Amino acid sequence: MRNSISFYLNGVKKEVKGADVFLPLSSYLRYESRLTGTKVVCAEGDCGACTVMVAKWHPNAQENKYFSINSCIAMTFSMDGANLVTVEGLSANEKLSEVQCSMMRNFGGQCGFCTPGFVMSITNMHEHKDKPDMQNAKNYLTGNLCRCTGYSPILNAALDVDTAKHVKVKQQYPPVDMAQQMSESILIQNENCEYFAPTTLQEASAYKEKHSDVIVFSGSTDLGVQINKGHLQPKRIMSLHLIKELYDCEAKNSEIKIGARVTLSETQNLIEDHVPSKDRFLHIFASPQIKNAATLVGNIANASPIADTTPVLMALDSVVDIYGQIGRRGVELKNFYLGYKKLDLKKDEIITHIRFKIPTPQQKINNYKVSQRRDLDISTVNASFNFEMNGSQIESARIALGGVAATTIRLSAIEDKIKGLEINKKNVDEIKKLISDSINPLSDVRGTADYRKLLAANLFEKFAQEQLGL
Amino acid sequence: MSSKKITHESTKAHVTGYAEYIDDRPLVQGEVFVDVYYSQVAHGKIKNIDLEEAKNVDGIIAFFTAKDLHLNLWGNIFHDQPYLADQLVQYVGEPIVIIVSEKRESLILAKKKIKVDIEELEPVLSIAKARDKKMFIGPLRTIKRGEPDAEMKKAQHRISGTIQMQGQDHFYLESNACIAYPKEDGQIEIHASSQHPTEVQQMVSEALGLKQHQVVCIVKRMGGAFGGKESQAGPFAVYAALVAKNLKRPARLILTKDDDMHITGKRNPFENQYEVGFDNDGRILAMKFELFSDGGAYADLSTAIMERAMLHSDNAYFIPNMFVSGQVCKTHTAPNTAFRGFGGPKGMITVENVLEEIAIYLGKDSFDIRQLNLYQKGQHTHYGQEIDDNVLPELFEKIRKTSDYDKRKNHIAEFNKNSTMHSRGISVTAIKFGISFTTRFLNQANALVNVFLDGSIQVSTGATEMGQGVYTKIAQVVQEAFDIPMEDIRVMPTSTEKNSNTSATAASSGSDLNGRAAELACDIIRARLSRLALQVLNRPAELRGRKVAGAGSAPEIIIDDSSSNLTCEVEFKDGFVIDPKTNNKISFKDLLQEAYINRISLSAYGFYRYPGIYFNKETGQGKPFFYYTNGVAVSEVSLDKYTGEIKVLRSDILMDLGRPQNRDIDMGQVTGAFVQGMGWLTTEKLFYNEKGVLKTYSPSTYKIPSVHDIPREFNVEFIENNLNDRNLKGSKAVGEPPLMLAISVWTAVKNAMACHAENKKIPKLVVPASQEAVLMGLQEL
Repeated sequence: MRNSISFYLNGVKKEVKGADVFLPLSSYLRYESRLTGTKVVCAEGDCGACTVMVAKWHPNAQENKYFSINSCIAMTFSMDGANLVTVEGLSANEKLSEVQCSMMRNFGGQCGFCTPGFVMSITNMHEHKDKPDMQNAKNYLTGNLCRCTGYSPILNAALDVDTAKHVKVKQQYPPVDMAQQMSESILIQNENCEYFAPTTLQEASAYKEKHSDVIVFSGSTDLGVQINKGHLQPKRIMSLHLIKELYDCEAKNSEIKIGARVTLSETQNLIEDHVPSKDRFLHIFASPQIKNAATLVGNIANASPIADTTPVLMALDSVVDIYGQIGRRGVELKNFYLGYKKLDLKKDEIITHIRFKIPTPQQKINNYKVSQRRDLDISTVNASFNFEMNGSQIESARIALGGVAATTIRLSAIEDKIKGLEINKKNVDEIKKLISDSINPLSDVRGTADYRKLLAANLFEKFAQEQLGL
Repeated sequence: MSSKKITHESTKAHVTGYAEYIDDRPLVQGEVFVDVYYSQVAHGKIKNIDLEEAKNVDGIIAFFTAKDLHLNLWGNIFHDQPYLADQLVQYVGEPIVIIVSEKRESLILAKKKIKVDIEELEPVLSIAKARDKKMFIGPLRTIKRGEPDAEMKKAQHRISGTIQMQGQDHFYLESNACIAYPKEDGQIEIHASSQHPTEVQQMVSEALGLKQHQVVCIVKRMGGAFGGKESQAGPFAVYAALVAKNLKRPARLILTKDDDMHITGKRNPFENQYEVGFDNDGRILAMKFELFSDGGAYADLSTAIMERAMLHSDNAYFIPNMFVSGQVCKTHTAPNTAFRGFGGPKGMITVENVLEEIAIYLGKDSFDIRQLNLYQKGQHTHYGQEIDDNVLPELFEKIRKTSDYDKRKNHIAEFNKNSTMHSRGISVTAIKFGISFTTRFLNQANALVNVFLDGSIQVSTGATEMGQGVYTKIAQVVQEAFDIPMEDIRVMPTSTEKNSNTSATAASSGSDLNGRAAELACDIIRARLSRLALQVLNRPAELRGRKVAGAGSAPEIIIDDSSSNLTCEVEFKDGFVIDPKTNNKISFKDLLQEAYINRISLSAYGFYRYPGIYFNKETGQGKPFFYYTNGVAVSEVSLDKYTGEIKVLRSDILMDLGRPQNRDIDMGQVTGAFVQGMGWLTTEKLFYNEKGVLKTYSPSTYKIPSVHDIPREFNVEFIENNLNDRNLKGSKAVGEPPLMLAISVWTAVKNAMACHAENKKIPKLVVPASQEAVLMGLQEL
């Protein structure tokens, strides 16, 4: 059993124990390591000023790749086994990286406060794309806000990087695999909090059963925010990063299976090859930094009524796999939410995977998200439709909506009722009315109830136009 | 003008992460952390402040309240705002208690344990309600030209209505931040993120009962400001200084984004009533505007903002008979303040909206309507300033071609006929933005230039660097004066020790005023060096140099070194000083050596004020502006009829910046301001609950534009204009004006909505044109 975590920071091995382990990573960098190039603006993962590059530990060393994350909502303890590079690391020995030079010559910085974050995100893009185009650049910079430049000079800089001169982070700081230490579990205690990282599901389940106050951490893209804003002071934290089975990410026997440690980015890469959806789900949702840290299972377990992945998973009839003291079980996602943030999950149980059948090309699927700003915004309403058609007749329908109730919901009654209907203007209006009448949303910051009802209905019409031949 | 690109002077520090902002300064021994507890109630009487539980939080060492201040009142125009609420709270976010901790992480916990008992009073949260209750700040102001009432009646057509616009948070990335270091004998050195170090110095000395000579304020750089740190950075400096003075320990106050958004004011919301009379062609005959702004709980700069709104209600258009009134209303929200454009955007959008509506009403093209009403050279504004150096007609003609307006307009009409899912719109808008503070005495600046014997130069001015590149432009001025390498020039952190009694870096005038002051300081040194050089070059070589001067064997050169004689008869070229008559030359560094050993000052102080400006606020007449910055933009948008989602497909911008001093920096100002303006007009929605609590106080709910929101195609061009010889190097100010070109996006949305309307019904649209506003607005047509 270890009583510390270890990681490499700009090529230097660090061993951290005690109170520092519980700091947000950005605080550890800024205040404990004098690496103040990493900036904190929002402390909630929405602006990207704190972006750093991390190669997290993976049981398959081939998968130790550098990705960008927001260090403000990452916790220091989650760096165990990782290789971490900050903006200062890029210009080691006074030699600026090609990305930094490109930002300079393209006037990419004005006030400069967001600049290190953009440098890291552009570096991340060039880590994964050899010939990025404008659309790639915009996608890779979704998670970084700039208030000065209007982004044009930064996009120019991102695309003006001379790839012949560019040195990838993995070459500058080849990830060191800490496989040996990762076979040992960790327990760190201090006066306020206890951190436990078991190596088996059995230990994890037993620990969770014993301690009702334990919080299971993964990417901490939501919990990190809660901690930073003073809404949450965890007493007991469990990390599942040493349990190898939870890294499963596979498409086999016409089924996709995603383990609890698999990030949204890894999920996206796998799914994009297997789900024929026009909007290639997950693509516009969330920033690279969030997708590189957050897990799909975490998004499900967090049970937000406006989670972006839930409607699509629900419309795909996904199943949640659970491990407990008496064994394993599966539960359908549409039955998993019992109420607002209430799950069908017992004290000793841990979500291990989420599974769903790969849709056939005959299935008409699309996912929608409406938010005040198109990207990196929390949905006002989101929706997923999964229809099977017989000519212009509805053979089967699955409709999942978020942002209209305390949980993401499936409209099962309507799904049954509209079976066999022809798709035409009159019937679409009828279905719109059914949808609108069946929901009773709230008015809040993101929109009024009337607006949400109108949106839910309109999204169906949009789907009918785009996919059902209306 | 150098053809080589001159990058932002801090760019290397920016990209490497070594640029130092306030919270990047290393902790010094004994330093404490400071935070602000603020009101959770919009309006009420403070009954009791209970700090007992908060005291017990580990690390907490002190609290300060109103009674600890020497003077608890501030305000730039009216002295009406307490630093710390005493008996009355007037907005959610109003500071009440200052908390001091030895541990950073204790502050958040201690804040939760403070209990302030407030007896709630009814809050006033809208302009409408404030008007009902006659809660006003400052007097009603009016400007009138011609006979608007009589001509309105005679007009063939009339339209009237109200345009509502919300505020906008500055969302500078570096939230307010300050460190105060106590020095011996009661002195305090403050490092602040402020646009106005002189005011920080004045506020701190007043609030703490110190003399101004005991307080130094230094501003190295800001991580963005946009007007938000013009007046409102001051109180945070006072809080940190209060702690430093009392505890004799360095005190660091770093706001979180959430707290910054609750505590500080925003762009003023406006509700403007308009009535316009026009003829069959769309020519405006008479126009009446009544402007009402929401000042928030205290005056701050709101009356000056209103003044600029009134002075920009004509924008680029000649209105023969015009009436405009302006009244600031008081509400129980954070005191609103300067934001890029000041009142300009709120006046301009009102008249641009009127022009768009005239076009819809008459079924005519809005580009034509605007061209018809455009100012012509020699006409006067409603406040009596003559329009000279007028490039507006040229800008309109050019952009009509370069943006391919007519062809696209037809294409859009065709598209709209056939598309069931989307609707497109296109619109042109213009800017005529007056450059100067409308309060004359603010238009002054000073600069200090110190030349060192190795040929390197330090220059200091009152201008603060917030990303806009003012340091770079000032360095360029010095570089051009002496023609030495850029790396030999360093612009020093702005400090009240070097430059006193300065104005805020605001009103787009930072480079104009401070650049000219620096240029004058350089001219003084150049003139001295010129007179010296002519003598040195006439002197045999053996009488030059330090050795003979040290031995006293050469007579000292005496020159006229008065600062008023600016004649320079030599050329400074490529590190040499040349007598053009003889072509004799001496290296710049050798000449500096000669200056030193002949006891000639190599430092100078330049002072500059805009000449010839005046404005009588009571009559509303005068020549308030030194010159105008002009521009036009054409934007095309697409609306999703099912969701109200807006996409900006293309924006073309054409501006007159005279002879831009640094083209690349100015280009960045234009794209940045435009996108910031788009945020105000589309995605940025401030949502308050019925208790006056701001619910959109962080980027998870308050959405500034992201990289995906910028125009898909974005073309920015400048015209050649060598006529503007009034200003620094023939340049024109660029900081604020392009923000208002984004109004073209908003009018394009209106244009796109109008194609749904039957019987030329005019769509109603608010600012921001959020998706919800657009979708719900479409339902009403």
